[in-house]
Amino acid sequence: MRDLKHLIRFEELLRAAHNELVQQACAEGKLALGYNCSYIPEVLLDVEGCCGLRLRAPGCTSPDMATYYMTNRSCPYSKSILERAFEGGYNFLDALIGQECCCTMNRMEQYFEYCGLIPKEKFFVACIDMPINRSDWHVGYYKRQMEKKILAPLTEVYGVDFSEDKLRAAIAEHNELCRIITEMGELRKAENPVITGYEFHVMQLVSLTCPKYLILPLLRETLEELKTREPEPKPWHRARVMVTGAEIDDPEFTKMLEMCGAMVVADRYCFGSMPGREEIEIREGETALDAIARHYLYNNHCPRAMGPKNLKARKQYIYDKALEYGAEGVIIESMKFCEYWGYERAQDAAWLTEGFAVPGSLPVCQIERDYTCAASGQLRTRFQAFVESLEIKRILAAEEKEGA
Amino acid sequence: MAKQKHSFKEKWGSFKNFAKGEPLCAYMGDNYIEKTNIMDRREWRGFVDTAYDFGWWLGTWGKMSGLIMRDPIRMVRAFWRYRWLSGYLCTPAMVDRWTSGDRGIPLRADHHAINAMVSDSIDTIWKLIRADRHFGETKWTERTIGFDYTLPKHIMFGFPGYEAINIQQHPAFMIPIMNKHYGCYYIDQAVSTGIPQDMCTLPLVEVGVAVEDEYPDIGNCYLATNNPCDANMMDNAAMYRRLSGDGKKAVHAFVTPLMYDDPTTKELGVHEIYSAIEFLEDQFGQKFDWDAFTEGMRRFNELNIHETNKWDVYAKCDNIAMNSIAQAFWRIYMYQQGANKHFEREAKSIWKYFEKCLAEDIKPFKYRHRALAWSCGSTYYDNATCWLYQCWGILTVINMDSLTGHNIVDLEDRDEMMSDLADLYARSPMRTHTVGGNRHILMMFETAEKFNCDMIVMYDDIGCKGMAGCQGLLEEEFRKHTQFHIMWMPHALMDCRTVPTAEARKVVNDYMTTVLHEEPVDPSLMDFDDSEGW
Repeated sequence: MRDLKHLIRFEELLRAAHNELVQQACAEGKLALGYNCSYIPEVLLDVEGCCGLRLRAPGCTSPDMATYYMTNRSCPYSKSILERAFEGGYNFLDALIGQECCCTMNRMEQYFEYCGLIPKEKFFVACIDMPINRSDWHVGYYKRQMEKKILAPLTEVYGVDFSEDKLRAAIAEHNELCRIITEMGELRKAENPVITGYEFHVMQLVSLTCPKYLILPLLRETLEELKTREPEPKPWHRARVMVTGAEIDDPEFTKMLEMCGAMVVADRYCFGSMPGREEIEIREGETALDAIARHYLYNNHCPRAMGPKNLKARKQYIYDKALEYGAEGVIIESMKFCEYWGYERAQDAAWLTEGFAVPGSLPVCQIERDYTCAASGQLRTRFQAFVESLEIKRILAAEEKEGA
Repeated sequence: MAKQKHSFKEKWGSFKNFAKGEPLCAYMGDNYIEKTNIMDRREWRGFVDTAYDFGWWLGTWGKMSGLIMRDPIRMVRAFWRYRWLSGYLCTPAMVDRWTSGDRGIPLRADHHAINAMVSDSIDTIWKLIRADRHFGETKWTERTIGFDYTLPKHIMFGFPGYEAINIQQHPAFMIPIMNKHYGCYYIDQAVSTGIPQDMCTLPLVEVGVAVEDEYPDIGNCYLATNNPCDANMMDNAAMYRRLSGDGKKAVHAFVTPLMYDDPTTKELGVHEIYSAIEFLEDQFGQKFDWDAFTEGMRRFNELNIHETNKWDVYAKCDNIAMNSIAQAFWRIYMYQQGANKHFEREAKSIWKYFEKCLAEDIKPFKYRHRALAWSCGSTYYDNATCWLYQCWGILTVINMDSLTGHNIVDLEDRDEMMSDLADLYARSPMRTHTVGGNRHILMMFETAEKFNCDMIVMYDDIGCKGMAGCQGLLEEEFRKHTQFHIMWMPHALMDCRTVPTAEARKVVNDYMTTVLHEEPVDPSLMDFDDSEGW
């Protein structure tokens, strides 16, 4: 396939948190608001005068300072973010919007203030308490947490306007971005797609880490380009897989998988588009903030949501999406030392392989990985073996069909 | 057999001392059977105290025999089916470890405290077995339900006629306390399902018991919780199929806020209590009895008043009647179980011993350092605080997990009562000081000051992600608080293979000799191999 016009530019944007577009937004007077977790409503941080930026630490291979503060037994994602902060990589931030959601991430966010990492006088870290259960009451609680922990300090410190009109405008912009990303993502459903998993991953990442108003024109143009893009004469991949799990903010991971012959057709992981790129619907009688709270509470498939309903819904979601996108197998990954995904990975694998509480079973490959693509040799071997097993399954199924 | 390395004269000095069992240094390490922490004979505490202690030892065996006799066939089947149950045959040895070095008043107060726990455990195990479907349905099966073991049971006061059991407490949590090797087997079972081994080992043991299908099958519903930490919350997902009978039983998540002292989260804590009550009302078909609940909380308040009175003694003087380990387990156990006859009875007896110490200015513990133990302690090295005292004269006055759920619940106003109960539920062991912000973990310094300590023993559970995340913070804060001697004591919570007890002792020994330049009180305890012990 012909290279996408903006792909190299997108890749460049992913080389640093303080990329060209972020610099431009800051120069234009926008407040740079960092966040780390999918429970933080990014749309709230993209209200007029602000830009929400999900933090990454590209190329962080040796988080020495962070290891002193968090030991070598802590989540490498959190440590890498902290390391980058020590290096001055987030000096442009005006606030960090955190959460007491995963303990390690919360510790990392507190270090921003404890160690005085951001040299801006008004910089602050806000921290919301996320509900674990889900109901209409919890939506209200979530909304009140946002009002008290995000809206109030940002209004007080920086005078940000969170009026209904401004929030609706932010939702409209967010929805457009979601439509574009979703449309791009759906192109992966084709038997011979015009987009690779790697390209999609890159575009999803820039949509999270760049100011929306600056990245939207580029994404719009790329979508149009994709609509007329000629696919390869025949599918380049040997198998179609879905990837689920913890943070993958390094597109090299997807590239490595695809070099093993496995096209990533569905991305249900932190930093992925499923869930995360669904449009926010404002229902009748709802305020914009009501809609945001409802949307982010119910559209989140983080393993921390408790209770049988949420537990089953998460497995069902993976199963449904795998079928919808034609994935032949699922790769479930967990970040090393991640307690949520360490448990969830094992349960997902058991339930999906066995077909417990879902209509059928799916082939599964479980991996544990570091933040960067270290140990890629071992991973490549695992992926190649998994791709081969999927191919064998396909051949055997075809033979069985012929025999029948 | 143990090798006697010291003569009678070296050990006791005189027959008078021997008769009283008095010197703190009696070369106790000489009596350990090689490669174990088990003595070759009962600890000599002087004529009177040895006889007193022996009486309790017989009593423990008597109570255990009584458990078997309640329904011998059912109990034998339970022993056959549940590997963990055989661990409780080590109970008398556990009592010996917990009272090791005790003389006089502490020996008596500790036995009363331990008696409450042993009696309550026997009742609880019996309630589990009698209701267990694995051995046939009984009238108790539907009336006995499971609570996650980190979820206090106080709301069950409002459902008279129903029993709640912290279902992992005896099959999982207590097991390495009985015999340190028991946890390892279940950890291996959990890891065999794909869960990484570098997680906290406590939830791994819980999951391992589920993997082996060794939880009693009781009731028609189960209450899970997010207490105390991320790993324990996630193990609910791993145990869901087993504890719900593959989805046949209703499961409710009883959640407590993580930022529990933030006023904006109070409404969540209260809401979750009402939700849990509503869930149980639906399950039982019985309305919540507010009068019974209020009465239960009144009794629990009394226990908490006893407890906080004792804390006053620990903080302000040396008239301390209980040793560190009995105090710690009594507190955590009593908080978890709520008020019941065993704890109510023994609380009064224990307080009498405290009163005696105060009235007669008896100072039973001859310490060199008063220490606060912070972070979560090890279960397989439950008697580490006894060792600290006997070997180095470090008296652990109080520990982090004791300082939980001590607020007095208002009994007059229903809204206030629920609000107080929310506070009580959110301040549970292993959680109060480890989640919800760094300020909670940093309370160690003001706590050490309050309890008049000159030393902080910082437990280092290598599987705890919450504590690993604040290691640097602690190191920096230690340097700012030079008035305290602060030392790390490593452990792996439930897995004695990862950090053996000898390793924990070595780290302490190094600190005491190289930093504080102190000589041990009892040199025979400094370095010994107990790798094959209990």
